[in-house]
Formats: sequence, structure tokens, C-alpha cells
Amino acid sequence: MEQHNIDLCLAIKEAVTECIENMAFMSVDTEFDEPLADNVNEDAVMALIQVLEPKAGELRLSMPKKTAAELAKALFCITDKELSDHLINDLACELLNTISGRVMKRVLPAECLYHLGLPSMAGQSVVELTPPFVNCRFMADGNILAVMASIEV
Amino acid sequence: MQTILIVDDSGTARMFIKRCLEISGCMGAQFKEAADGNQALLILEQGPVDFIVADLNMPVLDGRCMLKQIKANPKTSAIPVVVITSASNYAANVELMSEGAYAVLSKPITPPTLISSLGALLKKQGVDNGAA
Repeated sequence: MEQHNIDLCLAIKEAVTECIENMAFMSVDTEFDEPLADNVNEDAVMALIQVLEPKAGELRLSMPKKTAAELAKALFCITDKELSDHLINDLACELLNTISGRVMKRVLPAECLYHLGLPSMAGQSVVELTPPFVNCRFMADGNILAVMASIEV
Repeated sequence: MQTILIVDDSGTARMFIKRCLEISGCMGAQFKEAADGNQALLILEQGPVDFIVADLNMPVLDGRCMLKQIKANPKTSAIPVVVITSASNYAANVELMSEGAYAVLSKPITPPTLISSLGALLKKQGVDNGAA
């Protein structure tokens, strides 16, 4: 793996850990063997966000709906009955938005301004990320999730 | 009772900000919510608020444009605007402060961050009296 992607991977790991531990008070592991499908299906959600400046790129957050539900319950102290698809999708977008900002802050110099697009949910036929990209997987209190990123060098 | 306006296009984010403010000592405050800058300006026309907590990256009218309009209007220019953003770094923070932001906080916010950054605003809510 190129140094750029090694740095990007490290930034993603730090950002995801920081966000989930601070927001949902869940512990995050990065070393495990659990498989995770990369495609969007009825049991999974995927949020996307574009990096617009200073370089083009994209970040994606993918997770089973069960993970999103557990995150929502931890964040808002709500029950299963209060969960909805809208809440889960909104949570995925907001979490990706927060993670992406932390990632960009880590990979860019302090004086460098950056601009992210608005996060959105991926459709069923999501286009694959342009290589080279990184794919980092996490386990938050036993719930799997993944962040993929491709940012121009 | 203070009135706090939360501006964010994400309902999840508004819930999270409200929860953090409540934990930080604003349990008794009245919360108003807007999903973009335009909605926030309409709410401000209806009556004053004590301070605003706003996201930067929003559709329709983003946080920076909203901040400029609030600071350009004599009726609202004195209202403290706290910007919460995922695109926060030193350069961006300096720009926002020069445009009139009271404070710029990076997402994810936490109650300790709010208390240390917004002490004077939260003090009116009784944080110093042990409400947090």
C-alpha cells in the first residue's frame, strides 16, 4: 500500500474511533475476522460524501442496519420501537459527515481549507470507488461497520 | 428560561446537540429547531433567542451565509452564534470568528467541550450551580 493510503487508513481509524467512542460511548476494535459485504442490500445501509476541495475524493460508510440501530440506541437512549429507516439513514449520513471532517483534518495541513459536499444515501446500484482506495473495517461493541475512501494525492 | 435555536439539516444531529446541551446544564431551556439557514432567519423574525448553535454545511442557506445575515441585521447582530462543523480546522475557524461567530466547535461535540467553550452562555443556565 502506498504511503498516502497508509496515512489515510490511519486517519480513518483514528476518526472512527474518536467519533463512535465520544458520541455513542462504544468501544471500537480494528482487528477482527468478521466478514462484511461491500454491496448495498436490504439489510445494509451506505452513506456517501464527496470531498470537493482542495482535492477530489469520496468517503463511504457502510454497515448492517443492525449496527446503525445499535448506534442510534446508544446515541439517543431510544428503544427499538422508536427506530425508523429515516432515523437510521440520517444517522449514517451524520456519522459519515463527522468522520469525514476528522479524516480531512488529519490528512491536510492545519492552514489548508477543505470543503465537503452534503452526505447522502447510496442507491442500490452504487458505482465502485476509483482505485486506489482504502477500506477500513471496525467492530463497535460487536457491531461491524466499514469506511471506504478514495482521495486524490 | 433561555431560548436556544439549533440549526442543522440533520434531525439526528439536532437531537444530539440538544442532548449535549441538556447534559451541559440547559435542561430547562426552550429549544427551537431549524433545518437550514432560511428557516433559522424566519424563526428569528418571530422572536429573539439567547443563542444559536448552527451547523456550517447545510442546503438552501448554509451556516456561513446565515451567520453573515444575522450579524448584518441590527436586530439579531448581538445574538451569539456557535458554529458546529465537521470541516473545522485552524484556517476555517479564524475565518468564521472574523465573520462574527462566538465559537467554532468541531464535530463530534461533547458536553465537556460545550462547557469549556461556551462557559459564559451556559452559566446563565446554572451550570455553575451544579446543574451539569
